[in-house]
Amino acid sequence: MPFLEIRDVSKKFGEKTALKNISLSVSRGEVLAIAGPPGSGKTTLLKIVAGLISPTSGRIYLNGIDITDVPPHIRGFSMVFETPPVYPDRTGYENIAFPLKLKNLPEAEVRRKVYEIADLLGIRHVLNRKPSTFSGGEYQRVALARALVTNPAVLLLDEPLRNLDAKIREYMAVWLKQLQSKIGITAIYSTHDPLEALTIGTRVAVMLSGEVMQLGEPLAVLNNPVNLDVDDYVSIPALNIFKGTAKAFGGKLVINIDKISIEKDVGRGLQFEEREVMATIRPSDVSIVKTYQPGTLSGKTELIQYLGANALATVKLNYITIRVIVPKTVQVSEGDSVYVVLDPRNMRVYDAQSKQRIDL
Amino acid sequence: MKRAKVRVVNITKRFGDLVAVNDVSFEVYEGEIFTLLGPSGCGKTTTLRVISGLEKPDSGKVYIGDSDVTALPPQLRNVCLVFQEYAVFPHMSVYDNIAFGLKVRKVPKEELSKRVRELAEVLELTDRLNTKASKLGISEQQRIALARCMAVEPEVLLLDEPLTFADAKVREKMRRELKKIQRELGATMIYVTHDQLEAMMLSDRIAVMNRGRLLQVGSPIEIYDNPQNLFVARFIGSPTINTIEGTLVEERGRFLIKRDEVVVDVSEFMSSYHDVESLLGKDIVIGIRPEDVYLDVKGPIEGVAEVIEVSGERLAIHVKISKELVLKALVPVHEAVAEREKVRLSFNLEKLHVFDKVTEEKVALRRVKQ
Repeated sequence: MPFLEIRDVSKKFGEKTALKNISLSVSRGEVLAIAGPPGSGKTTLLKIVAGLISPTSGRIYLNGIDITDVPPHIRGFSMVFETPPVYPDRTGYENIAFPLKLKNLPEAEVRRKVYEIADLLGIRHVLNRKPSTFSGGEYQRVALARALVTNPAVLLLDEPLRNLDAKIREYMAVWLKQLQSKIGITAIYSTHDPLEALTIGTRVAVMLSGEVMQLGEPLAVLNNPVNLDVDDYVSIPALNIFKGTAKAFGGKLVINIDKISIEKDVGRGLQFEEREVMATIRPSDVSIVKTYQPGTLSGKTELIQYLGANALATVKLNYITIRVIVPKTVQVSEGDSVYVVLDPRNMRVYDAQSKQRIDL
Repeated sequence: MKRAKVRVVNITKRFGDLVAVNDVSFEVYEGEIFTLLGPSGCGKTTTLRVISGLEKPDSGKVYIGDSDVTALPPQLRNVCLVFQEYAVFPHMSVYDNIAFGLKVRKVPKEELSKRVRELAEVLELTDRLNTKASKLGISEQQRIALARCMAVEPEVLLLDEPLTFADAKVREKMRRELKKIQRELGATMIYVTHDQLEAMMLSDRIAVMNRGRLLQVGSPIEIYDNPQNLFVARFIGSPTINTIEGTLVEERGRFLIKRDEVVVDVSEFMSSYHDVESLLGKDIVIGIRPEDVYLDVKGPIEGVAEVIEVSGERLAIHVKISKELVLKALVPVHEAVAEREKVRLSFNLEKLHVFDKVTEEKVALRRVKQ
């Protein structure tokens, strides 16, 4: 039996469907990451789990008990928002102690618990300070400490790192993951950033337009997207997507993109007439060489964008434009003539209408 | 498109006791994208506002082209500033938004229409000219703000964190769009951001700032490969550079960095430099980028994989070496290891950076001639 279960939850706001038949479960000690672009329904789902809004249909279970109609403060969950309300006129200590004081715990116990959680989160130094002196990361950790100090059954985190500087966000994502493996809390974590979700989640649910499109372990989702939208969403830098046609016969798949024809060996069992498809390949799966080799496509680099260890090149071919990750060992400048190596083994093919993956 | 170089000479700006910008000088070349990069509060936005004329420096000079504009008000500087909050007029059509500055300047109708259409073409807004700005998405609003700025033909475009409110996916796309547009128009752009990846992807050159000071100016590759101090080394690059603090010692002809129970043999690196003796016994910080650390079954250092960070097209494996030391190795997705798995690491010793622990400056070492 799952610890927390979301069963067939839908939510409508007037005519607008925000969530459509969501079923997800979370095991004890697991972090379920919900990844999706802004407006995909992540926050609505978290609020339903927290009990802040009711679903239009569907139920929420905790330990097998239906809690759909249980008010939020009885559920024993804690929620941390994008911009958590930390009381500005109270010190770090008073902010963290606040939920314990509401429970009328003895002062000595409050003190012990606040110090324990502050040490765990590395924020003992801000206990006597007011929030106006906190850095972004400290502010967020105080909010997290306040959520954790009551030892919640489930922690709900709604884009908690969204408002932090990029560098601090990266640090905090790894820090949160380390904290999680130390204390093993059960959590649902929402983010618009697929890389953050793939790093933090034990499992990841990709949510697009109010529906869970794919659920799985991080690398399974990254390496094996079920449809075009998931592939597009999880790929950073942006996925190359080409409209074209494909047919399969006699152990060969032929993909035509404009005047480019690419052949791929496939199982002999795969056979279909020419149909419209979307073919995708990630920039890291394409490469370029500076001198012509048979089978390469000639083009011109339009743009070079440095990433650090490597660069992202936008290359204009005769009919299409393609983005390529170029390692530092390949010296290339904007305007250079280059040859693109498009390895069909790295391509994924989707039906143009249904966007579902065509299993090769 | 008109364009000019910009020169900032010994600018200092105080707000009460706080020195927001501390004796900053740099030159922006004609037609390049130059980015002021640093954490919140480093002085980058204040510097941009000094260039725009919205802030008056306490000392120092600003030149646009060859003229000293330090005393000129913003509207006489021939610069245009695009803010974080896109300053589009939501109730106006895209056409009227772009035409706004031209109407204020009483540009004749025919010329006005021609210029609006030209810009709409470059910024891919042609089929949206009659749409209300409020009906459009964040990327289009951004382009409208840019087009309106460019319509009045400024010599310099100033952009203050224009992509802050876009989500990760949209931001990546817009970085590409913005750079393409700049390449097409050849404008001089000064861009402000706290996001190092944004700066790397967008800029011809980057100026890294911290606490009001300018720390280093260079191309993205120069700054990434050759950081002049520890702050720049740590701020640039994602995942963040690995650092090992310790003391350099010589034992039985080997050079070792020692820290508690961790010992890293850097003989291979040190033997290609003169002056190594001068470092013996000193507290130093070694920096090595995650892509220069390898999972290697024969590697000299052992640890436990703790966190697997998905970093774009690769994985950063965080390996716990000791209580105090975690090292990251950047590996292709197909080389993933499981959390809690024991692994061994080796380094690409040619890529070590050495910093003085006290001054945090790079230690200049002279390479032995091969």
